[in-house]
Amino acid sequence: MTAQIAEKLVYKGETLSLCDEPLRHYLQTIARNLRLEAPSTALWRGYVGTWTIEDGRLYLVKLEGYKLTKAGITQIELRDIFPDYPDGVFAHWCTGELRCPMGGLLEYVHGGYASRYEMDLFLKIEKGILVSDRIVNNGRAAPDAPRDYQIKAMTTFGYR
Amino acid sequence: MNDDLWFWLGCYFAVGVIFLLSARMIVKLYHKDNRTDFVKGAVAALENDKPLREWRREFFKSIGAGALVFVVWPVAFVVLINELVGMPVSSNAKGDEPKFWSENKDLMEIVNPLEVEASARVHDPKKRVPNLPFGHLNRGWKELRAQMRPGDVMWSFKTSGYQKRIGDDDKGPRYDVPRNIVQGYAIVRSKKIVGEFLTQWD
Repeated sequence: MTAQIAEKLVYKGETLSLCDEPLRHYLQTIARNLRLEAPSTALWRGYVGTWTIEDGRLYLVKLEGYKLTKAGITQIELRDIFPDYPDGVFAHWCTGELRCPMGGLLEYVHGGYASRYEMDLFLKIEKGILVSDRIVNNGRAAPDAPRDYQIKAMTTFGYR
Repeated sequence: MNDDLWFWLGCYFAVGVIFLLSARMIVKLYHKDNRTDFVKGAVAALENDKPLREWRREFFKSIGAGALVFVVWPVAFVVLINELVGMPVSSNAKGDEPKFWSENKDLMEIVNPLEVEASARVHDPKKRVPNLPFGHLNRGWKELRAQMRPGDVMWSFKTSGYQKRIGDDDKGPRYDVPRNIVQGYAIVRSKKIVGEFLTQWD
């Protein structure tokens, strides 16, 4: 298992790492014919989405994905999944809590999104609308601890 | 023992030998090895690493099993027929069955598809959603409606998800609500879920 590259979330002007995957079931159901490929062991889902909270609503505004074609791995973007909405998609399907770790690294875990950081920002979303946010304090990192979400190692696949 | 008994015992074992040879041939003809080359290679490597004692044990086990089948070959015959007739059908059917997020325990209430559709428009001030029932998920809704047959019932569902128990030594993320809750609509036919459409997830 390898730690996974996080999604990105722009919230209150800050670009944070989003350790949840609000697009997952969409790709498994509605867009199931789109076969995304993992470019490395750190990105098994085959894409990185950039999300924003604008006027209290969750939008998917950018996507960098990887698809295997006869020519090899090609990159796809938001317009390949939502052709009529290349500039952003209202994520009205999202209901639950989204987590963004912040601050210094407390403990690195080389699997999933399991590494622990000083703080977790939780955003409560109801049908794509932000209901509340809260910050959980997880402890204090060492002064020289790395800051912000990161992956320490991965294996990149050499597709042809 | 009289001659008749010897004669019938001889017949029994002679038929047994014919059965065993035929069974071996049938298994060779119809048995498909679905293992990948990787698995076959790994198993072969494990076989090579077996100590002599393990080989000896395997040998005597095979001899014992062979002798048992030879003695009670009618039982083996029934098992073989059962495998050939029953198993491929049932295993295929099981493999082909679609998997759903929802289970019968997650079904909440029977709904009217027309009413559901009428109240499923999604509004967004930035117009980043199509003006269709269930917005970006409209295709899934249409696929579910197309699956409905007379007699089918549509239910709303919500899975219970999971929530880690936060103990003193637990250091994982402290989500407030259970994770992986999925909501949507399911088609139930003869008390069985035959189709589903996801509308909400985390």
